[in-house]
Amino acid sequence: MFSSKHIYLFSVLVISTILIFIISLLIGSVDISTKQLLHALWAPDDSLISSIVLELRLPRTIVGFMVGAMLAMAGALMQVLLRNPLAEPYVLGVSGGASAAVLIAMLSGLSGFWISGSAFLGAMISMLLVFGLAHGKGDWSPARLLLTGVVIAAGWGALISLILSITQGTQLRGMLFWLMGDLSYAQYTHWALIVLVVCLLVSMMISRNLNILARGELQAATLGVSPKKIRYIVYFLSSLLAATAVTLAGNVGFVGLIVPHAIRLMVGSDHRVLLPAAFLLGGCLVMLADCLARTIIAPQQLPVGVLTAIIGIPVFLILLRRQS
Amino acid sequence: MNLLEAKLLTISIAGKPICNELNIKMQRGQCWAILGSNGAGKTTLLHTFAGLRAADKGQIEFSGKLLEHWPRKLLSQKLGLLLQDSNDIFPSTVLETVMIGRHPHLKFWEMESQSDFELARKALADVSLEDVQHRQVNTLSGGERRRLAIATLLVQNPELFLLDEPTNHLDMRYQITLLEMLIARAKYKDGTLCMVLHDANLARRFCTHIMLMISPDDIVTGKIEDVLTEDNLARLYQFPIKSVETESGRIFLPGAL
Repeated sequence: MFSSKHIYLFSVLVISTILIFIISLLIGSVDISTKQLLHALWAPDDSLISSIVLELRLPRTIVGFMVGAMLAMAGALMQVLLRNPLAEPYVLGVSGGASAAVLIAMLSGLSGFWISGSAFLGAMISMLLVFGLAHGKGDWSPARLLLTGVVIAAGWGALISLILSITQGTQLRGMLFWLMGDLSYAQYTHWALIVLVVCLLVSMMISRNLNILARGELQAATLGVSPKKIRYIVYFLSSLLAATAVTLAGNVGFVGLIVPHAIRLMVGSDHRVLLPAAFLLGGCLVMLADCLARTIIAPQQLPVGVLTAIIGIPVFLILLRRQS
Repeated sequence: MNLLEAKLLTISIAGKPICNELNIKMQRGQCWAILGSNGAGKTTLLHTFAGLRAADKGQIEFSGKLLEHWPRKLLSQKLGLLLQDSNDIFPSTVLETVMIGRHPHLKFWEMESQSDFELARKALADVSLEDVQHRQVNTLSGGERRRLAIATLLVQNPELFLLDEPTNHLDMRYQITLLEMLIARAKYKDGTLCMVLHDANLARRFCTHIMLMISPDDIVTGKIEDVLTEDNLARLYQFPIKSVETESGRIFLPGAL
């Protein structure tokens, strides 16, 4: 099953993940040496270095990895669900719902927990709304789901524009950063890790079914896959992943679209390889983007979503050219 | 012994009736052709036989048990359907595509074994695609994709072969050799083959039984030598049909209006 190409890909991805993870802990507005890093990790004390590593950089790096992994997996799943290569985690309005809810919370002067709480709530409301409206009388074609999602997303977009247009000053800057994807206030939470691990395991269990569903519902049904059941699971998994990612870091764009396609271009569309590979590559991309986001114009920080696009788009275009 | 039996089967699609109270028995060892004019509902009927859509009334038994009582996965080990066309949106190689036929035979945690790969390679050789197994599917021609779909069905290895226009896109040689091979496979499994065709001559050459879908209330079924006549075909297509005797048997031709 696993060819040497797969082993090569996973070796490169695992090594890259570890390297970028370490680099991400070393660099930033304060330079830390490898020795200081090891000391802070293995024998933390009350020093500034220890608290920078353990309280700032470590959680931020882990969240960055999780957000990237979630978005890449959600994108791969959404593309199968909608049988559309242009699908990405935000296409069905999950991020729109989250963004609108967060902006309303910010406008009301809420902060901290309330921001992530309202992001998750908004994402869930949007997910149920699209599900209910697209479901209709049992007919659930990918085209209908996609159109419903796109229309709902457009509705959220209008609401977001409205809120931005009536907001002023520093509050507006916070909102724009959130909308572009931002890890500076990211909080590590155990439940996000649980969501990530559970979604990875469940999607790996149905990964061969996904290979068949990608070839159409009729083909799936003739091979003993219940398209309806699998699609419910996929809808739920991808929405939950996208909602959790948005809750952690706002709208980090391009990861969910580009990473699954990059893996497909490299090793094909077998989801047993695609999903774990997208998991690692997505994580790497966001961690790397975040390293740059906080060093390019340090001590100022850039929104990580801008950097994922700046790194992701040229790499993807090179891959696409090499393929043809 | 009956492999597929329909009793008082009534089907319609989007309000349009396809068949009314159809009774049919397909036994092991038989080879059926379904003929009908465009839009008569041949594909809809085949999909109903495969359990992909529900009938309005009546029931279908597969191997002595109601179709809806079969667990989907177990059913697809024994009943295979060649769809009219396949669509591949995401990149995939020929070998990966043919391997999906093994899905019903594998547990959800199982990976394909060496013997599954052997089956896949043999099926690709049976349809003369063994040299392109690492090519991307979207670089294949229409006829090659058709042969790939047939190979996938061979890998699925069912007892009942339902084929929706299997000869689409195939040149003359492959029309004959692939149908011969599929029928041999069905015989070897002591199964049944049932195919939708547009060519009465292929039906005459390969099938033991035939179903003519003239209208929802007039579906003629029976042995090929009794049912496949100039008059019946003319009634079916509402067009004059002639036949001539040749070395390779009787050939049907469209006449002149």
